[in-house]
Amino acid sequence: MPDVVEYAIRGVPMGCVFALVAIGIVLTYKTSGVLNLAFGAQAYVSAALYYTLRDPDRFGWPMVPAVVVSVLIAAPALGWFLDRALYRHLRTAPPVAKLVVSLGLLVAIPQIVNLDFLLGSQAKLAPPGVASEDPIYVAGINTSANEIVTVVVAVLSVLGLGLLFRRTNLGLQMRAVVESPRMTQLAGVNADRVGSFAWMLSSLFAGLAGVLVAPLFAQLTDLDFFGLLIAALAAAVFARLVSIPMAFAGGIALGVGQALAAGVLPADNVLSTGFRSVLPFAVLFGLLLFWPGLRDHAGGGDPLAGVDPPPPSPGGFVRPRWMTVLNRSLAGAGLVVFVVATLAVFDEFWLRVITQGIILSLIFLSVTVVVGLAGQISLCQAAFAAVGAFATAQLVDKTGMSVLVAMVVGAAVAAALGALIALPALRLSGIYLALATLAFAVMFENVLVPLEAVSGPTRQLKVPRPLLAGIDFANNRAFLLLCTALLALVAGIVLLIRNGTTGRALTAMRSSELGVASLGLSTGRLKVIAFAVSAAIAGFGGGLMATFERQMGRQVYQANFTFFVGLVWVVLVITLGARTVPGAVTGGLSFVLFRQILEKVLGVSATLAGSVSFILFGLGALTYAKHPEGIVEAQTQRFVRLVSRRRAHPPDDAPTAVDPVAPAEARP
Amino acid sequence: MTLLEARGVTKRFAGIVALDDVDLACDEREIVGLIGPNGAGKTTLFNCLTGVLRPDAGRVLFEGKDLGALAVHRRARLGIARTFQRMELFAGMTVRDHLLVADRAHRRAGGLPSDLVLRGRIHPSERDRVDRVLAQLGLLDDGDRPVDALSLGTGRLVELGRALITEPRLVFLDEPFSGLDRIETDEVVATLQAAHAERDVAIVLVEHDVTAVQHLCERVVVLDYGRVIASGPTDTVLEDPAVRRAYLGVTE
Amino acid sequence: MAKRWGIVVAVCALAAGACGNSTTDSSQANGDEPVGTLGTVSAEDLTKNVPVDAPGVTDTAIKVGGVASTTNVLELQVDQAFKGAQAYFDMVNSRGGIYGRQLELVAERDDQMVNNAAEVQGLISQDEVFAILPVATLLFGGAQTAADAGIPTFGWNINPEWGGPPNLFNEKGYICIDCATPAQPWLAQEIGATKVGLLSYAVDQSADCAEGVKKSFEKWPTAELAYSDAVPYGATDLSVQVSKMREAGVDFVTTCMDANGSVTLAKELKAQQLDIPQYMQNAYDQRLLDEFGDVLEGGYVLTIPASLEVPDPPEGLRNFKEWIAKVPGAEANELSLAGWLNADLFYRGLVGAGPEFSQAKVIAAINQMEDWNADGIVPHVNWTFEHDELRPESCGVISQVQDGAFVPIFAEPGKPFTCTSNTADELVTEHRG
Repeated sequence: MPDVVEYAIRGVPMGCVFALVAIGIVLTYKTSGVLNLAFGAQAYVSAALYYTLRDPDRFGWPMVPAVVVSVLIAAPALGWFLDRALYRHLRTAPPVAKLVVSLGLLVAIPQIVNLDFLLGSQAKLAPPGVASEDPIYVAGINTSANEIVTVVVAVLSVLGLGLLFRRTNLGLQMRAVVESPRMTQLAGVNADRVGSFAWMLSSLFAGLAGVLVAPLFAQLTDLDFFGLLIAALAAAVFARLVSIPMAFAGGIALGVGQALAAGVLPADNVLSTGFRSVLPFAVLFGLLLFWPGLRDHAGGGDPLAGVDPPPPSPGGFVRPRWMTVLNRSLAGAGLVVFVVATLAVFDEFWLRVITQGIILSLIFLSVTVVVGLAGQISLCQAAFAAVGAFATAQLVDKTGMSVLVAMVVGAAVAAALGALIALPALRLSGIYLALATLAFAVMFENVLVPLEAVSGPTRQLKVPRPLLAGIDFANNRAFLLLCTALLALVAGIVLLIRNGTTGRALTAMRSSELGVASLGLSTGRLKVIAFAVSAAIAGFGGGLMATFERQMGRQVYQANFTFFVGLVWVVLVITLGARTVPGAVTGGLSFVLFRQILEKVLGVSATLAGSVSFILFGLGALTYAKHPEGIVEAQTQRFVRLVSRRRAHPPDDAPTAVDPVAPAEARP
Repeated sequence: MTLLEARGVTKRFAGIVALDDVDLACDEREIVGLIGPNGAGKTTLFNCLTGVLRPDAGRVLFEGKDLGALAVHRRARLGIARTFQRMELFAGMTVRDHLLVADRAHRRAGGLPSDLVLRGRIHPSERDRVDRVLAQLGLLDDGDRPVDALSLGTGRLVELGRALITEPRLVFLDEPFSGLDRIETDEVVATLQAAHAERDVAIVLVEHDVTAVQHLCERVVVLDYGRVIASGPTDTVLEDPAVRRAYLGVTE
Repeated sequence: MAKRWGIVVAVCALAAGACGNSTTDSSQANGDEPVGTLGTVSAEDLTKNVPVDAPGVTDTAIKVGGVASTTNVLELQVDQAFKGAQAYFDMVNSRGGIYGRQLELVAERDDQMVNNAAEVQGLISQDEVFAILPVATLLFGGAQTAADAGIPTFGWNINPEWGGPPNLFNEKGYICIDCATPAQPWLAQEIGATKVGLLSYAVDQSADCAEGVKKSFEKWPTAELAYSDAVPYGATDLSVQVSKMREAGVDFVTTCMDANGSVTLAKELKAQQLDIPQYMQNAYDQRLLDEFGDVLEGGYVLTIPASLEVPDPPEGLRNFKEWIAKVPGAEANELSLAGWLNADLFYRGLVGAGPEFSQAKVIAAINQMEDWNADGIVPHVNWTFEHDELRPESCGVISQVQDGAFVPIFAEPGKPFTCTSNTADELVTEHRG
C-alpha cells in the first residue's frame, strides 16, 4: 500500500489513545462542569493499582479480577469520594475555582498513591495490558490484541456515551445539573445523586483509560499521564469541551497527524523534529487562538445562581487600626531578627536555602499580579522566570553588561513575551486562558529551551554576582540581604500598583469585565498590562536566580523552572493568598523551606518530606473554594474577628446578588 | 436633536429571531422607556446598542455617526453609559471605589507610571466629585462600605452613580427598579428625576413598573417578540389595546 | 516530565568513551602500593598517625560524605553508590584503615534531583567532611560550590560539570559525547553490519550523542548511516521509524535514548519482525533485563569500567564482589561499582598525600596519577589531563544481551577491555587488561 496510507494507519492506535483521554476530559466537563486536569492523575491511580495487583512479586492476580478492582471499583470509588468531599460543594463556584481544585489534586494524588504504605514508589517497569501485546498482523501492519481492545473501547464509548446523552433521561439530567443544580432540583431531580453518578462515570472512564494506556510506556509514571493529558487537550478543545464524537475525531486526527508528520516530513531535520515534538501543543495553542465558539458553558449561566446564599462574604472586613500597627511592628521586628540571623546565625546551607526562598517569593509576586489582581489564571509563570534568567545570562555573556542591568533588561524581555501571551487572553477567559498559558509553557520547554541560542551551551553560562556600591555580592550573606531588599522593592511596586488606578481597574475587571468595559476601559489593554507586569516581575526574579546560582543553562532550568513546577507555584500562591504580598512571600518560603525543615529539623526522610510537601500544597488548593482570599488572609481575619469580637457591629443582612466568589480587598 | 438612532436592528440566535427590524430613537435630554413582556428582546436590544452584541442587520447612530462594530469600551468613551439587569458590580470594592474607578476612567487619569508615583492617593478634587454624586443619590453614608454588604436597592444606586459620574450624554438603565418595593422605587424615581434635571443626559430605560414608567418617561417604545408594536407618548401608548393585550394580558 | 530526567541520566552515562593511555607504564598496581605519589611513602608510613588539621579528620577517623538523587522520578537506585563506597571502606578498615584512622561515610544526603547545590553546601558547612564522596546525582548544580571549596570530590560521571575543575574526580575519566569515537564503527564491522540506523530524541543531550555517532561513522565508515531520525522526547510510538528503517535496509540500529526508549524500540522491532541488533546507550542494568530480557535479546551495551560479567575478573572486581556482598541492602551494579571506584581513587589519593595529608595534597596526588585503574577495573585513567581532555584511545567492555544476561563477547580472560585508537584513520583495536 502507498506509504502515506500506511503511516496514517499506523497512527490510528495512538490516535485512539488520545481519543480516549480527550473523551474522558469532555465527559467530565459535560457532566460536572470541571475541566479536570487531574484526569491523568486519576488514570494513574487505576493504572498503578492494576500494575500492583498483577505484579507477580506483590499480588500476582490474573487480569479479570485486577481490572474489576482497579477500573470498576477503585476508579468510581475515587470519583464518588472526590464528589462528596469536594466538587459537590463547588457546583456553583466559578469554573476557575474548580480548575484550581483540579490542579491541587493533580499535584497531590500521585504523591499520595506513591506513598510507601499505599502502592509504593518502586519503579513500575513493563506495565501489563489487559490483553496480549504479542503482535497480530492486519493487512501487513502489526498491531496487538491490546491495541485492538483500545480501539474498540474508544469506538464503543463514543457510541455508548452518545446514546446516554441523547436518548436517556439520566444523560439529560447530568447535563442539566451542570447548567443549574437548583433548577434541576426544582424539577424533582436529586442533583446530588446525579452529580455523584456523573463523577463516578467520568472517573470510571479515567480508570479505564489508565489501564488501557499504561502498556505504552516501558515504565509507569504519573508525569507521563499528565503529558498525555496535555496532548489530548488539543482534541478536547477541538470538541469545544462538549462534543464526544468530535473529541474522538480530534484524537484520531492527532494520532494520524503525528504519524504522518513522522513519515512524511524529512527526518533528521531540526525544524521538522522540533515541529513534531510540539505538534499536539501547537495545535492546542492554535485552536485556542482561532477556534470559534470557545466559551465557558458551565459558568455563570445558572439563572438560579443567586438563590444559594453567597459564600461567607469577605466584604465588610476592614483592617482595624490596631491590626495594622501590630503588623507593622511585627514586620519591623522580624526584619531586624532576620538581618541579624543572616549576618551571624545562618550557616552556608541555610543561607542558600533561604535565599532561594526569598527569590521564589519575588517570583511569586508575579502570580499575585496576574492571578490575584487581574484574576487571570496563568500557568506559565515559570517560563517567564526562565526567560528572564536566560536573557540575563546571555546578555552578561555576550555583552559583558553589569548583572543588575542585565536583570532589568531580562525583565523587559520577559514583559514583551508576557504581552504576547496576553493576546490569546483577549478573546479567552477563565479555563481556556489557563490552557493557553499551559500550552505555551509546554511549548517553551520543548522547543525553545533546548535551543542553544536560548539556553546556552551544555556547560552552562557563567553569571557573576553583582558588584554594587563597592560591595561584592559573591558573599552569600550580603547577597541574601540584597535579595531581601529587592523583594521589598518589588513588593512595594506591587502594592503601589494595587492601590493605584491600574490595580483598582484590574480588581474591577476581575469581578466584571462588562462593567469595566462600560466605563470606557479596555479590558484587552488591562490584561496585556497585567501579563506584561507579571512577566517582568517573574523575569526579574529569574535573573536574580541566575546570578544566585552563578550559572544558567538547561540544568538550572531543570532544577528550578520546569512547567510542572510552575503549576505547583500557582497552586501554592492561590492557596495561601493570591491577592496579598504575605501570600506570595509565605508561598515562596514554604516551597523551599517546608521540605527542608521536615527533613533537616524534624528528621523525616527526604523522600517523605518531599512527598508530604507536595501533598499538602496540593490539598491546600482544596480550601480555595471556601477561602478564595487564601489561607493567610483567612486566618488573619479569623484572628482579628476573635480579638475584636465584642467590638464588631453585625454586618448588613441583605447581601446583593453579585458574583458569589468575591475576593477580599485587604491591605497588607 | 436626535442623539441616538437605531434603524432596523435585527438579531438572530440560532433560529430564534430575538430582534426583528427594530427602530428606536432618543433625543437629547429625553427619557425614553422601553417596555414589553419578558423575553421580548429588551436587554438584547440594549446589548446591540451598547456593543455587547453585533446586530445581524440594521444601523445604530449616535450623534449622527454610525457606531458600526465599535467595541463596548469605545462606545462608552463616546459618552454612552449603562447599568445592568443582573448587576455588574465590583465585588470587594467600596462604593467610593466604584465611582472613583469610573471617574478616573472617564478622565483617562491614572496608569502605571502615575500609580508608581502618586501612591494611590485620591486627589481632593476627585473626592469632591465622587462625594457630589454620592450625595445626590443619597449614598454618602454608605460610601466606604463594600458593595457586597449592601442591599439590592443601594446596589442599583451604586450602578447608577457609577454610570452618571462618567458624565455621559446617554445612559441605558436596564430594569433599575427590579427587586425594589414601592417606597424604594419612588425614592429612586425621585432621585433619577433630580439627577436628570441637573445634567445634560438622555436616558433610555427598560422597566416593568408601569407607574415608574409613567412618572419618568415622556415617550415609550413597546417590544413584543422582538418587534416594535407601538411607539409614542407614554400615556397614549399605554392605552393602546394591542399593548395592553401583549403586555398586560388584558383584553378589554 | 519523568523521562526528561531519564535523558539527563541516560546519554551522558555510557556514550562511547575514552580510555586510559596504557602505552607508558602499565604496571599493575596492587592495593597496598601507592600509585603516583608526592614524594615517597612506604608501607610503614601508611600506619603512621600524626595530628592533621583538616575538616572531617579526627585522631581516629577520616570522614567523608556524599549526595545522591535517592528520590527520583524514575526510581533509579542511585543510592547504591553509597553502598559501594561503604564496601571499599570496609575493606580498607578491615586491614587497619590508613594512617591509623578508619574511613567513615558519615553523610548520605538526598538532593531529590533539584537541590544539589544546597546539599553539597551542606556537606561542606554542616557535615564538614574531608571529601565529598560519592556524588551520584542526576544534576550536578553543586559542582561550582565543590570546586570553589577545593574539597576533593568524587562521583558518577553523567554530568558535564565533572570536566574541568582539578578537584572533581569521576569514576571513568573524560567522556566526550559529541566526539567521533570508534567503538560503534568497530562493533558494526565486527558483526558485519552494512547499514546503520540512528534514533535519538529531539533533546539537546540526545542530539549531542547523535552528532557523535554521525561523526564516528564518518571518520570510520565501516557501515553506511542509512537512516537517522530524532523523535519527540518520550515518544511511545516508533512504528513509522521502524517501518522506514526496514525500507532503508538497516541491519544495525544505534540509539541515543534512555532505557525506556530502547525498550520501546526493541518491542517495535520485534512486532514488525525486523530482527536486527540494537546498540543501547543506557541499558546496562540487570533490573532492565529482568523485566525486558526477551525483548532486548541480542542488543549491545558498552561499559567503561569493566562490566561485572567479565571472565576471570581482575583483582579489583573480585574485591568489589566480595565486599559488596557484605554490605546490607547492597547490590552489585553500575552504581555501587561507581561508589567503589570513587572510594578507591580517594584512598589512593590519601596514600599519595602521605601521613601529613590535607585536602590539597590529596588532590595534588591524584592529579599526578598517570595510570589509575583501581586494580584492573577501570581502563587506565590518566589524571594529569583527564579533567578535560580525551585520551588517544577509547576503551570499554562491549557486552551483548544473551538469555537475559550481559555477556562480554569480546573480553578475553585477563583482557576485558576493547581499546581502539581515537586518532588513527583506521580501526586499530586491541584487547587489554
